[in-house]
Order: sequence, then C-alpha cells, then structure tokens
Amino acid sequence: MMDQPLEFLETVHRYWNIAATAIDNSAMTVAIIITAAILAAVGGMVGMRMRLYGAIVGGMIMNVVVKAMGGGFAAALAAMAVVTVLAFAVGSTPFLLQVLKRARRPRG
Amino acid sequence: MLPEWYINLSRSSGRAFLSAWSNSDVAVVAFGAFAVFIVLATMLASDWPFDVAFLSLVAGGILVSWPAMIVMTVAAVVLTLVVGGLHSLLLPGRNARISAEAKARVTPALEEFARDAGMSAKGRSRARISLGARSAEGSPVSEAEVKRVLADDDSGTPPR
Repeated sequence: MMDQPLEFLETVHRYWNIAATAIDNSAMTVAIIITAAILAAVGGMVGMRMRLYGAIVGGMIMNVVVKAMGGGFAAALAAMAVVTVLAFAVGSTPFLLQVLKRARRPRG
Repeated sequence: MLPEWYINLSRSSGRAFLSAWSNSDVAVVAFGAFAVFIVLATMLASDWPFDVAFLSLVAGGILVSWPAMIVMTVAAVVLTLVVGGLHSLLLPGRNARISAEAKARVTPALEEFARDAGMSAKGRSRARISLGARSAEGSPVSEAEVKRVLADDDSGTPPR
C-alpha cells in the first residue's frame, strides 16, 4: 500500500527529469516558475480559487514549452503538475511582498 | 457523416495524448465545451459554468500537441472577447453591475497590496480618492477607515 505513493512520486520525478532535459535551460525553467508564481499571486488577490487558476495557467505555460521542446505528453503533464503546485505554494501575496520590499531596500 | 475536409484535417493533425483520438478531435470537443459553458457563464452570471469552461480548456490543452494548444488558447480569448462584447452591447446595465461588483472585490486587495508593498504615495492617494468619492456619494464611511488612511498618510511623510 505504501509503495504506491512512492512509485507515483518516482514516476513524476522521472518525467520531470525528462521535461527538464527537453528544456535544457535551467534559467528558463526558473523563469516559468516565477511567472507562474506571479500569476498565482495576482489571482490570490481575488481569492483562493483564482490563485489556483493562476497557478494552473502558469503550469500550462510550462506544459506548452515542454511540448514545444519535444518533451512528450507525459513529461509535459508532470512538469505542469510540479509547476502548478510550486506556484500555488510560493505565489502567496506575503511572499511577493517580501520580495518587493527586499528589492526596494537601498543597497550599500 | 463528418465532412471530408474534417476527416483530412483529423488525419493530418496527429495523435493526441488519448491515442484513439486525433489532436483536432480533442481540440474540437474541448473548445466546444468551453464555448457552451462560457456562454452559459455569461448568461447566468454564476461561477460554476466558468469553472467548467476553464477546466475543459485546461484538459483539452493537456491532451493536445502544442500548436493545437496555441490555436485553442487564441480561439478561446477571441470567443471570450466576442461574448463579453455582445454581453455589454445587449445588456449594458447588467454588464455595468457585474463590472462594478468585480471592481469592488478587487480594489481593496490592490490598495492593501500597494500599501503593504511600500508603494505608499500612490496607494495613499488612491485610498484618499476612493474614501472621498464614497463620502461624496453619500456611502457610509467608518471612522476607523478614515483613521487608517490618515495614519498611513502620517507614516508616509518623510522626516524633516
């Protein structure tokens, strides 16, 4: 019974690796995750449901990029799921506020 | 039963994630569901048809290849614009009410975000304007709200 979730996670990890190999550019992966987080944060200003929708839209951007780079359907789905979950978790307004405040703080 | 051009298109569009279906089959079904439910969402002004429309577009997007995804997204945006435009032309009063409700829901969150992010000058002036407009309209403005805006004003004044 306990093996099934682990196997599932292993499969997702394997397909995520395929997607990351297909994109072959970690900067682009990070950029897509940040974009998804911003979309989730903007949606989160309206409500929890819209935050989820924003995260899903960000995940769909990852999906289309992985497919365009030749990653295949399953890899694109796994990458989309990972980006959606990450964006939903990270893309909360307080987190964005912290980043903004840090960026506005005078250096030196 | 299906027209010849569609059968040719279906054959040339390649296999979808569901191997029994082609990309164009999935795209047509998903976009059809999106079109029906986005029109329903506009007519009923309720949330659940919008949810179904969005999820059908997402499901369709997952199952088709990337060019079909882009075509579906562009078609969905165009359809939403057309439906929204028709709605505002045919039922302007209802459209204005829905827009005002949406604005009322989003504006406080945006103002709070601007204030918390330290975009104080803009946030404060917006808060003051909205407070003034509401009091001019005769809407009730609580004392606590006035105090909050004035306190923000004081805290934003640079020390001399």
